[in-house]
Amino acid sequence: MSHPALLRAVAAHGLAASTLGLPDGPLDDDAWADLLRGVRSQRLAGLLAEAVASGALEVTDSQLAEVIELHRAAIGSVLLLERQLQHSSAALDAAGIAHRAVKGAAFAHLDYPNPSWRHYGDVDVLLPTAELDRAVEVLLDAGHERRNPPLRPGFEARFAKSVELRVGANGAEVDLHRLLVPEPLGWWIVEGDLFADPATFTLAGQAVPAPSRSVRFLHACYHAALGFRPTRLVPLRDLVEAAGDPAFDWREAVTLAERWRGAPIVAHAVRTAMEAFALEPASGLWWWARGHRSDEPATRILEHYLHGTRRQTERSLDALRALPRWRDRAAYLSALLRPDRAYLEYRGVSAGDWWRQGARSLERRLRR
Amino acid sequence: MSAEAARRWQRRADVLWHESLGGVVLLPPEATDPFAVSAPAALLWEALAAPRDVDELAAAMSEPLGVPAAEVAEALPALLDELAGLGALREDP
Repeated sequence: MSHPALLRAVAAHGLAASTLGLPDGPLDDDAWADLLRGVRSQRLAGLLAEAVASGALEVTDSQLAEVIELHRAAIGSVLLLERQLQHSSAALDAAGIAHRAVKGAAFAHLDYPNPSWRHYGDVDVLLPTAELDRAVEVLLDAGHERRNPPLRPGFEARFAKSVELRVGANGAEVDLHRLLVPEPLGWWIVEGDLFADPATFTLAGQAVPAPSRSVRFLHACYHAALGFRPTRLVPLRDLVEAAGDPAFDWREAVTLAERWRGAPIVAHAVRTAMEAFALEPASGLWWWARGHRSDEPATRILEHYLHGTRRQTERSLDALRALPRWRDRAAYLSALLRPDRAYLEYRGVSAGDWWRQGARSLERRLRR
Repeated sequence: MSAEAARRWQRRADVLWHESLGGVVLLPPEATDPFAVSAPAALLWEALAAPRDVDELAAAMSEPLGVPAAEVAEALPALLDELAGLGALREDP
């Protein structure tokens, strides 16, 4: 874990099982500037503000003013995103399309003691695969815009993880996901599980549906394990918050993870959280994660992510291998090899450049 | 009691808001941008969860602020007008 100890202590603030501590007395100017840089890049303003408000982190008057400003700005951004989530959710409801708010908004409102502790930078909505194309149409009619054209018509609803939209004067990003994580791991997740036993939170009186506690926990684990390197602290905190709820049933969550062939991903994420936040084992989940060993396909895919070798070519080859039917493999490969003209124009490449880039990438892959 | 003092206010249910360090940040439905209010106004926001007139609000805020209720009541109409002007409050009939 390469994050500085102080930044990790801020990210762990309020976790009873963490042995990380905050310093006695205010930080000097250099240490404070370092901390603020980390807090901004990791979106930890809410936890820093809470550490200051609770008196766990002492600050000077000028440092206090900086935290107040930082927290207000972060909350302001979140409120604008919540407004967009309200609009998107209402439009989908009106069209009778089942959906779930996921990631930032769902974690903030359902898993944290106070939503002001958890900030995020976009709106994420999960949809059943069968509804993805219709949901895109509904939201385009409601004023959203596509960020980029599809690789090929029909590709997204058949193979892709998500469709990215933009909306509002500030260009808020609204990501419509049909998979929680990229293929092939996303294909192994049982869609019915994602929509079972929904939770609900309210935004200014409007009910917004979200996945069950177990699914939110697993999503946090996948996000932590497969996201940015080094692992970001917020998804790790998300999984600890979700697991910390007294109503959380870790055995149920592990059963789901095994059904999704993702147990190695979940075990890795839990172990990483324990290390990052110096957590004392507090439940059977931690012991399960410590003892988990596996040679499942997900372990090999996880290794690619951890060692930075999970590039597009690797991803595409894994996906091809995972597709059970030859017909699907042919359609997937055909879309990758011959993208739509609108997609190439958006990427600013010619069909020839696309081929050359793909060939170089494949050559590098085969040399390894 | 004057007509002004008898007016009852409540925060609008459709305002998006979160606590922040040292206050509250609000985004009323018609506002383009969020705005922050500092600690005393955040106390007012908390008190406005239910419909209240100026005297009731002043009584709720007096102790946490450490200021006599009469002084709080004097300052409140301007603050209430400002919040109402920003679309964050509704007047309870």
